[in-house]
Amino acid sequence: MTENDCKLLKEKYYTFKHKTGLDVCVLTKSGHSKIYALFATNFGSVDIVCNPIDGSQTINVPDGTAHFLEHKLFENENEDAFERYARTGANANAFTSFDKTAYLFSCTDHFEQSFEILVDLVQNPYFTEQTVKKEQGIIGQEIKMYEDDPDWRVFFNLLTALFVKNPVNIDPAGTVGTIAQITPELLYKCYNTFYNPANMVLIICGDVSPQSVEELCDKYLIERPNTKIKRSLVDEPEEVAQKEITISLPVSQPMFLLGYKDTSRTVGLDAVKNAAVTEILLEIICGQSSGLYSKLYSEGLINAEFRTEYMYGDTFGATIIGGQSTDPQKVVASIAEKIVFLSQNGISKDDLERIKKMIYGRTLRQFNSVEDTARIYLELKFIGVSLSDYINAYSSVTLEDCLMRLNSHFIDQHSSVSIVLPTKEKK
Amino acid sequence: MNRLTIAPAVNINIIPMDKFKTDYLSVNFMVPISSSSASNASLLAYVLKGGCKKYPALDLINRRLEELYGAVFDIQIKKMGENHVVGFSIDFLDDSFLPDDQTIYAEIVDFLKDIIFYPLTDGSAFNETIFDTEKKNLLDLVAARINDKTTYAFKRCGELMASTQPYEVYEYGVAEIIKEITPASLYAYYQQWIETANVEIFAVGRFCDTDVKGSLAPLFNKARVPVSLETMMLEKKTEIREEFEYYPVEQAKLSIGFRIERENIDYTALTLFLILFGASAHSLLFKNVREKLSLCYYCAARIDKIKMSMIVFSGVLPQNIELAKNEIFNQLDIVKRSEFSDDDLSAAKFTFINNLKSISDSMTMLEDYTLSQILLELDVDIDKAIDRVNCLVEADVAAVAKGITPDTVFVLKDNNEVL
Repeated sequence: MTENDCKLLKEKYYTFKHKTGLDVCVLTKSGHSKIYALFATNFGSVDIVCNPIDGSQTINVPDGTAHFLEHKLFENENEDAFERYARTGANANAFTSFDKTAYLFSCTDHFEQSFEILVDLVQNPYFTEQTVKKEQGIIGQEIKMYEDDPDWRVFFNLLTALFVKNPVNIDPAGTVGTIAQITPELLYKCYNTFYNPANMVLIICGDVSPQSVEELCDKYLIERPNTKIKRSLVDEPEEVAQKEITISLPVSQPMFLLGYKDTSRTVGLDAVKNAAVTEILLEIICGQSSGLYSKLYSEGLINAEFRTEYMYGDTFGATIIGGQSTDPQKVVASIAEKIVFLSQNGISKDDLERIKKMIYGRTLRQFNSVEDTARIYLELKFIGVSLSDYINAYSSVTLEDCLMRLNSHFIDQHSSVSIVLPTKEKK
Repeated sequence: MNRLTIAPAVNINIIPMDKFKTDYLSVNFMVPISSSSASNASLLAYVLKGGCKKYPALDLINRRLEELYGAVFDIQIKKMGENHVVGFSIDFLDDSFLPDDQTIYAEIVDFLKDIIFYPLTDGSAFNETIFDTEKKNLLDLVAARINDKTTYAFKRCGELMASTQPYEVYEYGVAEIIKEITPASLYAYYQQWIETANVEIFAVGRFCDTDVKGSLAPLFNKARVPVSLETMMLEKKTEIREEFEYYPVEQAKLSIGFRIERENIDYTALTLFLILFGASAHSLLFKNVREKLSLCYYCAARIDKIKMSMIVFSGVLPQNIELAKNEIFNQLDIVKRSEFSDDDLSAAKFTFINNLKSISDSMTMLEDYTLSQILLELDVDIDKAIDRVNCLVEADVAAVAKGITPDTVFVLKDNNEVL
């Protein structure tokens, strides 16, 4: 077991590779009432191909499979995992994202019993024709709910516009049509391939001793074949699929997102540094302390919903800027203008230093809660970077880094816009 | 917790906490809700947030916050019972995490003071530029409430139930009234609001009682005359009201509002009932309307303990509205007849206790819980709350359910559907 002491954060955490091949991390948090457990696999909506580890034929995975599998793992022959958690009082959930699926619970008591349920539900899949059919109904409803959600639609249309081949533009829930193709056999094949210890991680965060967690692992983890899955890189061109996608929904005013596709192929620490520079740049270009934000805000072209984000995984990256506006194209043009201005006139050192202070506080604040602490560690674990490296990635950003990234990433040819316009309502 | 009164109806609640990286300070102003107070106080909150004498523009405010290591300053606008609540909060890195022995505590308090008490004015009116921008933003926000159909359907049901009472007002105000507000009329409103609101201040973290009292007490007039806050009960109705609104949506939203009898109510039993009935992944609504009948992706319940109303909200296909409605009523009857199992009850108790213990892991949850208990004039001690939960039995939950009556059914759907 390795003890890691992140002095900057005053956080201690313990990591070990269990004899079953699973990587385990215990983030100790004294004084917290909740213990949070996260058991995750590096399998998400971008994994559209399954190369079974038993050597059988490659399968094309229908859209929405990872998410479907997530729902189904909660059921076994006898009862639903939520009924089991009900007897321990734990608050349980799960999520599927682009590149990972995670099962979690938080509890203030009966930790061992809840741990047993978590590990059991993840390690013991049970899929039948009947349970698959039932879930198609429930997920069908979930899909319909998101179809009505303008935030969801504007976001996925942006990904569709930006990415030509990269499966990041696939909705993690799939469509009613694609989930209809899912069978128990398919679920088992995907499960056996992606849910193996070498592809997973178990994270525990709370007022708990690492030794006690190791004992629980010895008691409840099952030996499984270990094979690290390599995610294949998609041959994504530099150009975007479409410059603009516009739809209509019953919203009160237009919503928009401007995106820049990341064409650099960074992984590991380079990817984290890349993300750090990009986030700092976004603050400088149109963050809340920028002159541009103030100007657009006072002209009524943006409001408090305006936000920026850089999202990435090992096979994709994109910058996203947007919100609500009566004139989305004007906002997009103003941002492009500001980028040109910075490119020609440079970036102020004072701005950079002040923004780094802000990011320092923002980063530390994330470690207030057991949930956020575990989630950050999960992201970094699958990328392969330590907590200290993560924090230093921001503090080490230079003006030169910013200018280089400004000129290589924020390029018009790599950008697209997604807009949702208001429909006329019938009453 | 230490509770200090520093002026008439102005209290500071100091909650010591040293497990977080940050500390938290908030000031909550509460007045009776009405279409006028919701419109004026909400606009006021945004205008004050938008600039002050010392930092007269948004970018200057944000730069100041960035200098203070990314302190997070925000406003919250809420309806708690028949009260309009405006909160100003600031969450800031604790001195123990700052490099080179720096301290920012005094500057943080100054910032909050500048925002709330020293706004940017033109004589006896708010600065017109900030005012105009925030007025437009508030109008946009009020118009945008229909974007999130799930939340809209939930809240709208609660408003319709109270259609003859002040509670029916949307807490962000009414467009027609907001449009009539001027920089001068808002400033006049501000002056009386500061003097008459009931104020609850929260200091959660590593605070020294005397420091907090010393820095905040001078801000409030010792001779102020506060308003009194009261929440009226929902009117009894002779039949269940049905309301429809139409939007081009795929999934219909069904919300059902219920009145809860307040006389002799046991608030702890009420929350236990809620969890058992519709506020957990093993609740009767989740297990039956969602899991067993596959009717919806979500079906849950929430209670306003001050107004004594409950809303069950769900997303269903239009053709399943009647089915879902009947099953929801059926599950409530099951609780009234004590036909739920011991397992259901113990699961609900476990969840309740888990929720109570989790409160101290979040500064904002601690504030919300404490403020709610203060308004209800109930004990704020969480350990005592846990003891009360452990003493509850099946009959307590059934008794609460018997005092719950359906009031309003609200449906949001596409009017092209053929039923």
